[in-house]
Amino acid sequence: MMNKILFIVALSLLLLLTACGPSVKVQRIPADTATDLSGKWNDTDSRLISEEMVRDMLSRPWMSRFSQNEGRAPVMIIGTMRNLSSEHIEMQTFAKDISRELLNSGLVRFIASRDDRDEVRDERADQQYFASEETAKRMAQEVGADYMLQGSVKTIMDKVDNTQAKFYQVDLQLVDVETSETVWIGSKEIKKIVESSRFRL
Amino acid sequence: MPLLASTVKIGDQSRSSAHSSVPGSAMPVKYLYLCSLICLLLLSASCASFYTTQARGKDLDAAISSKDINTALKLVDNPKMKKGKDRVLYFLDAGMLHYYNGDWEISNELLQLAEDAIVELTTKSLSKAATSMLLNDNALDYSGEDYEDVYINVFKALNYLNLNDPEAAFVEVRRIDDKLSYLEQKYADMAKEMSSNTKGSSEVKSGSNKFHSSALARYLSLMMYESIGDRDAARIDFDNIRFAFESQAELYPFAMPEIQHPLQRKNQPLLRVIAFSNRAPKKTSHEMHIHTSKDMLLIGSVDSEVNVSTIYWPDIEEGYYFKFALPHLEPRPPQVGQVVAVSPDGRRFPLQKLEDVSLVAKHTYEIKEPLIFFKSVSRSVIKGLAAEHAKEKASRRNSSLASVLLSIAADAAVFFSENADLRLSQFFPGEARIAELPLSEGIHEIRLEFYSPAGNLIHSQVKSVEVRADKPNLLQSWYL
Repeated sequence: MMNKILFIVALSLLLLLTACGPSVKVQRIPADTATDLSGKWNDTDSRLISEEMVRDMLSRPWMSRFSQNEGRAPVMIIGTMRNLSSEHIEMQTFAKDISRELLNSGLVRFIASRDDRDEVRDERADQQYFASEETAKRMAQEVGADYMLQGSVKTIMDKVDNTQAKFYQVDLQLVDVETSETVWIGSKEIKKIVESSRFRL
Repeated sequence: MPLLASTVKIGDQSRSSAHSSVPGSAMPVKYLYLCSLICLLLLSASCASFYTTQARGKDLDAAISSKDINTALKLVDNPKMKKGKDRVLYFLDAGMLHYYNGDWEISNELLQLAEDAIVELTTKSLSKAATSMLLNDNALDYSGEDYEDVYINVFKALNYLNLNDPEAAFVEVRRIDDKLSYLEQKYADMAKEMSSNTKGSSEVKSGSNKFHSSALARYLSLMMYESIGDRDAARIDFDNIRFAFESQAELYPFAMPEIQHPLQRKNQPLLRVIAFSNRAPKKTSHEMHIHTSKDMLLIGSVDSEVNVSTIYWPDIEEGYYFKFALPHLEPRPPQVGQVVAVSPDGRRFPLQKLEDVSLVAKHTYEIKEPLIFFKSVSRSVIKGLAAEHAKEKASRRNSSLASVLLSIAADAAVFFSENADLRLSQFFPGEARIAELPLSEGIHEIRLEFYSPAGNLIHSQVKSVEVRADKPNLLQSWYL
């Protein structure tokens, strides 16, 4: 009888101690670590796709043709990136990842996005009134983009029981701003199998 | 009120009469413990594990019919529900109330929590499944009805449109397509699993899915494509709406509303009015009876709406009688029979029914109804037989008093634990009606009139709306 009582007391203490433990645990990990928690589109997908697609885009013939004809690096701008998927994907983050890859390649020049340009234009206009003549930046000196990069993310979902197949397709196209000619089209797919447990305790 | 799931073996009178002549003696201590344990189990478990509480039902009905959202929100605001097994219900109810209140962001946060919880609950809790086999389905986490899961995305899409984020609204419409394509297969898998658990005694089949396309979801998509100038994509949605009506006659047994064809309509802007009226069905409890013959269960109801059926059940003896409660979706009486939008120049536009949410709820529920039925029967028979076995054992070993007390305890345990799971969200509308008003660009004041089925004006409101050629121009209203 005494043993049973001791066992129950020990068990209760164990449960109490477990309950008293911290409910949130934070672990710092490198930012480039792949963290697939829910199977949804995440920062790793965005980064990997950007790297691969930009690498592909810059290795294609349009690039060398432009350099030969113009004798300089092409100037690019990011256009609309549309989310045509059935997931809420932060397309601005994806656009930023692509921008970073393009700039870091050192092979192209890059124009700020429309929103960013508006802010800079406001500042420049402001300088015309409030900055000294020597330091005020000149109006109408912006660099015009040669190419605009547009794209979309689409998904196809399939589900059987507790297994879900997610197929993401990222399409990018590079369009000549002057002629509207499409000079490059790239497509990259990601396929994920998400298996959730059928049972938990 | 719980139904008495009594376990009586008909024609087995000799046992109790034989023991009744024995004078009462002290009950063995271990059976006292057993009785106490059963009573403690019943008392200590949350009442909500046994039955669906409907205490707030009338107050909620009154609050919603008088459009008193703040009172309704206070009534649904239950801290225990937010984290407990009924959290999906809380998120759905609060999310819908915030939608009606115009709190689009809060509504979306709550509906997203509901959707996430529904996904999370596809992983079944073994402990809760075991409890539900001992008690009833009220012990399980509420994982939402399929129509709730689908219309979450409809209302999230509307919220995103109200927040001027059409791209996010499109995401929600696509999610509806994903869910509908998975619906039938989800229950076919479950039925297969159930059949394998019956060890060949019975084959369990889910119902067939009749809901493949939502005209309401397609209409939202049409509207959004038109607003971004993609008329061909809008035309595809128009065709899909027509196809939804033609191919799903059971879900759309009414004429398709007049919708202007995206490729044929003039360039005049349209104000699209959507009114949500009435309320989606509620669940009621049906009393069911099981009689046993050799290797067979005969199941029927005093209610004629439920069919009599038989289930092959190997090794069961003749003469048992069990009762159990089965949840059933029942439409609510309509409050609204007609809705009219009145333009500033006095033109009247009657809104036409685009979606009957109640019918969708009924038909999607029918897919899984056979599974609920089979599970309820199995649980009832297993519990009933266990109780009967315990009573027989007690009557052999104990005095008549002990035997009677144990019989009462066993019957009481079955009695209190057998209840239908009547949980369902409260605030999805019963139907969606639309009208398209050709108006000039600018700000217009539109009056919306809601009439009862008898034709009496029961609610009227004036809404100011800006109509622009490059916007969806959607005006939403409700009266439940």
